Amino acid sequence: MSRAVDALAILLLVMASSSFGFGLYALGHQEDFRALYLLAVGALALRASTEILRPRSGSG
Amino acid sequence: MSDQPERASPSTQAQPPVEGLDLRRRLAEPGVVQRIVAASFAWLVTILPVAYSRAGTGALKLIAFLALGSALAGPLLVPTRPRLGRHLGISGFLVAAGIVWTAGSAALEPTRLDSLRGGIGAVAWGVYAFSWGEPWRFGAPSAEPGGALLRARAALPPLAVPIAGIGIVAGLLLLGGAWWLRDGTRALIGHAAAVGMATALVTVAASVAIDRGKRGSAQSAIGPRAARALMLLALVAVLGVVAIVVRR
Repeated sequence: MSRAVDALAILLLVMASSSFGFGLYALGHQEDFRALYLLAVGALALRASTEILRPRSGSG
Repeated sequence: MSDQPERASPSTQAQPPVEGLDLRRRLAEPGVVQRIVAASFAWLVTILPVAYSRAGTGALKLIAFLALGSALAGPLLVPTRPRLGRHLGISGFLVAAGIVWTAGSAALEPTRLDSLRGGIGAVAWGVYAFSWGEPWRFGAPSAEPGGALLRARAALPPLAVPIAGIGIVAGLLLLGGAWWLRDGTRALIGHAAAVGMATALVTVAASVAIDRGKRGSAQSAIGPRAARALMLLALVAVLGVVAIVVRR
């Protein structure tokens, strides 16, 4: 289970990187809504990536 | 600046200043070659072309070469005079670069900037900043005679370096990619967003790289906060796709 969580964290990090990249690409092609959506997905993926590795004892 | 060797700054405290190093020994000190190479590359890509543009006067060329001299001398002085070396290598180089860019601003108009060179220049200045961040230590630290060798209390989890590398490479690609945005307003927003995204990626990649394996077997399940973050991500992802399809 621990390895699966680690793998999920790495997957989310890669997903965030890709999402940011495609967001910037969409911004360059004047697709502002899509760019905003992809940047938001990237930010949430980054947050989830750190949250799932955080020890549960400190969580509120 | 006094002639006496100065106290090392916090980043160089591990290696106290030594008097009278020859050039070869100075170059062998941690970080010296890396700082010289990084600054020289940034100078070649972003300062020299401005000094030799149509806007470049003789004085501007002189200041550009003073910037190069400052960038080369600073790292070489760091092993013996850390404060003077940092002032020359950072403050002196940046002030001279700023003068060249201000006086030759006609060569830096957006319409005349090559996006590829601009991207390479941004990366070059990023590497220059990193090169001055901390001393580079590739070799094993040498123990003092009679003293015990300091050992790390824990080893990095496997794949820590590649994972951190993914974040750094992705961050650099984003910073470079922002230079391909043509529209003025979007380019400005893109650069600001790229800096923020790159910073977040590097920070989270480092955190993911070292936090793996810290959770005990009793904590292997995903906690409520993580579950909420994942659900929010899934919700936004699905709603966004629906909105994009509806807007077509």
